[in-house]
Amino acid sequence: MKHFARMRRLRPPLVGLTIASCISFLGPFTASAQSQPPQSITIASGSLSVSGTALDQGDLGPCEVSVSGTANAAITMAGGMLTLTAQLTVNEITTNGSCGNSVRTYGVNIPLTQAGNTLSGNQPLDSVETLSAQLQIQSMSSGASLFTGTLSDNFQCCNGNYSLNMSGPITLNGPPGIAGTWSGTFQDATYSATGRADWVVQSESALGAINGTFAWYWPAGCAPSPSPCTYTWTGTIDQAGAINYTGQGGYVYTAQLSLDGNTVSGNFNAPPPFPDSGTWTVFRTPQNDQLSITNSDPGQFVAAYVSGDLICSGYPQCLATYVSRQDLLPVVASSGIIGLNQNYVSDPSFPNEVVAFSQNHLPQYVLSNWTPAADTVAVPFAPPVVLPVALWNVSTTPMAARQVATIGLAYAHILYQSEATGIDIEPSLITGIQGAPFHANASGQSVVGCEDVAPSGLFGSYNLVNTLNVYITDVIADDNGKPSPTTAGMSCGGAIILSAAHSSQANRADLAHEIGHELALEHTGDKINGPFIGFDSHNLMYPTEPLINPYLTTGQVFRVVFDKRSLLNGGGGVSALLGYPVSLPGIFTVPLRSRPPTFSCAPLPVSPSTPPLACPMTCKDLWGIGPKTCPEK
Amino acid sequence: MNRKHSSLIIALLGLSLCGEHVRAQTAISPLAQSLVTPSTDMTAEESQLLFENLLLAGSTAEADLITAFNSGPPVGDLSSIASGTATDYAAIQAWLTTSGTSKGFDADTISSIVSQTPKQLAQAEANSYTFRYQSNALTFLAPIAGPTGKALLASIAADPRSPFQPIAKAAIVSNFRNLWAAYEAPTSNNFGLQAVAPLSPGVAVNPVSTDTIVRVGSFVTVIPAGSFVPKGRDSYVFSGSVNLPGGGAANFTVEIVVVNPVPAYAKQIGQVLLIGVKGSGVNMSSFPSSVEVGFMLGGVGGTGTALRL
Repeated sequence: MKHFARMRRLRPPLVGLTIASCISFLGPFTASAQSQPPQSITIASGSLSVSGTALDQGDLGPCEVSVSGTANAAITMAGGMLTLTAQLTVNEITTNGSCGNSVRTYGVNIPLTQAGNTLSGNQPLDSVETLSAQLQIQSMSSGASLFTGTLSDNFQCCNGNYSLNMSGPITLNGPPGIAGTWSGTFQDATYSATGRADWVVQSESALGAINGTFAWYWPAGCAPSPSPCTYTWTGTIDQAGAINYTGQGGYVYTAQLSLDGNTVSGNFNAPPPFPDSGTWTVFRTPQNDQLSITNSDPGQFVAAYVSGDLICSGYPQCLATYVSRQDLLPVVASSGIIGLNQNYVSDPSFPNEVVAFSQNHLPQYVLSNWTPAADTVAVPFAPPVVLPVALWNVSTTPMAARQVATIGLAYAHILYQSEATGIDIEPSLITGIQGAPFHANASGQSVVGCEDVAPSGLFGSYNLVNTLNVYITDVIADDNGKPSPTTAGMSCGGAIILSAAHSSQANRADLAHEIGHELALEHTGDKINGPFIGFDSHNLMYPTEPLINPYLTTGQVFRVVFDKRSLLNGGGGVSALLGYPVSLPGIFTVPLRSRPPTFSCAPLPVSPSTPPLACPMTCKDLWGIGPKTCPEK
Repeated sequence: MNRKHSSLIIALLGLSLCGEHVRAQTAISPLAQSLVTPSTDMTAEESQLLFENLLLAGSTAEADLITAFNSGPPVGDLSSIASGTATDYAAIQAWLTTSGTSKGFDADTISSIVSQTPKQLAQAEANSYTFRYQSNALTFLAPIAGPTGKALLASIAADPRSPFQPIAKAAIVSNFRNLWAAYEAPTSNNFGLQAVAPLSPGVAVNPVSTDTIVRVGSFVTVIPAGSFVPKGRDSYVFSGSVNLPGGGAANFTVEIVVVNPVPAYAKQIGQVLLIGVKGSGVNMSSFPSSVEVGFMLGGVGGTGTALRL
């Protein structure tokens, strides 16, 4: 069963992704974060200085208050939680005298997932005071240690209750966290030359001692020629990001870490007898982007693909390369965040997109405005859409017709749900049309073709609008009107015919197959040449039976939802392409799916191309099913 | 029951049934296997591709199709259906039990489905698969049948106890009742061919609105619908260049004259097709005395041997 198959083939969450996202967060805080386990790491410790002006909101008594304070803070992180504990010493001075110094201890436990999060806590201090912290990490993910925000201290003073708000900045006076590899350029004023610089901070102590290497490259090779390329150095970085160090050859470097923590710019000077001076700028190795998943079912897997320009090491000095539809294999987004392990910037010419899939929800297409920073792309899944199906018996065997219709619809419901299409196939009407047999053959059976279900046809007046009409007959007529006693089903474009006669009774998967045509899916092979590349004979849209464990690829699910020809978008399916004479586009006067976008997808089979086609290859798959031979990985 | 019936037919034809039966599971050609494997549905292009290959195979496919009818699907297919679909049916039953009534399905049908075991439902699907497999064998046998195949089809069509009787009847009716043909090849790359093909009563063809497949020897081509031009009353002509298998092109002229029966006899006598084919650019030297030919017009056709004049 397909939904069982889906469960079987899904993989556990990709542990590597989870760890990687932790590492990318932790990295800035410690020189060796990337090599340490993320479960329990002391990031930094130091003093947290708080200054600000208190606002007397109580105004009930004589206390006009000014406040200054300092605090000693210890910050630890474990399992994605940041624990901030501090002792805050506040000197409150009123017009009536001093309330005196008070010492308050507070602690905040905050889930940390990304830069830009608001960290909040609300801790009772003692019987009369509570203090809440609203701290905005301004640049934690990029390594600088600047927080901004407010501390609110509600306390009782003198004869009344007062509320004091102290505003930041609140600066953690630990080392900014610059360990890692930086790349950029230098401009040598002495030699009027420009080259590439790789700056590596190998270690960074809690007190700001740093050491590492500086590699200089002219366009033609090492600078100075012939060697060495790499100079070692030692120095310091202070809490404000000022960098000073001395390297081999007596070079003295001074530089400043930018506020966002991603750029170091400075100058260098070498003493005689070989004086040399110039400037240098390096950029932190980019941070990884991530998806913020909302509305997916808890515990359900999410798979996606991503397109954009992939940032290179040393960006923007090197070119970013466009990558089309990079896979994000199925993960459970337990926290709602899925790390991409890559950093993308927007391509000016090609699609910058995220397309995500999860069970019980419509796939989501999101245009991404990738930036060099760590982007968080919101992926809000939408609820499933209901595809109403009317089942009309026009056969001479109503019992058999009911059984074929019931089994077929039940299976279609289960299959389209398990394949993460976000389509809920539901019966809206189950009835018969009196008068069988229609176009009787010699055996007295109904012989019905697509011409009969067209608006002008025999059953045209029974077509329900905004419904997929399915007619169950004894024998299906082909597009020449000739009885085709071995045909089990036929898609007419807005309507379907199924056979219930014993000789050609539709099996459990035939209705699901015909619905696939209505949803813009074409056959994935033919009987003579076999399956198209990237498919095998188990695919739901392969034309031969038996269909054991039928499946849909991600590329097929994409078409079902986003192809203009899909009934979901008001199209008429692909029956016209299949050579059938009747197509009823517009029978869905109200498209079931109202969200843009829609695409004109290329028919089967196609190959990867540059520029990329609007739709993924039909065989593209993220769930690890099928023969895994699709040219588009 | 089906196999008994088939065996009886073949026994009457004097064939070695047991041997055919035993070998049948693995012996039939890939083409025959493709032809008889049931389809969910088929596009016009796919159908055309099958008939092209069928005509090209001609009489060489006859034995395989008879074997396929006799023996039914490979055991592997049937066991695959029986084992591979039972879990699907169990899921269908579970869904119908919990949601079927609320979705509007009638209780009797639900009861009828859930009262069977998943294996029983899977077996029913396997039975249907077998029936369609054997039906396909008869349907594709008809256009290429020689005397053996025709005898088999005729005997099934005449047997009211056979579940395949309607299939055999339809297969016979849908194809030429006969095909007489002769050709001449005055030069190494020119030939002219004449054929006469009577149809069953009530069957009509229209070369203008249907695809036409023409096979001459190792060459088969499709003349798409709309290519024939009416030329006078009941006469249709196509003239053009068609691609040859293995490269190159040939110039072809095909003329089809549809002779309609006198209305008073239309119930007993069908149309007769007079088919003329002229070709240049086709080397006929490998057919010194006879050549296999075949025609298919909108699913109505047949094959035969053209003798060299």
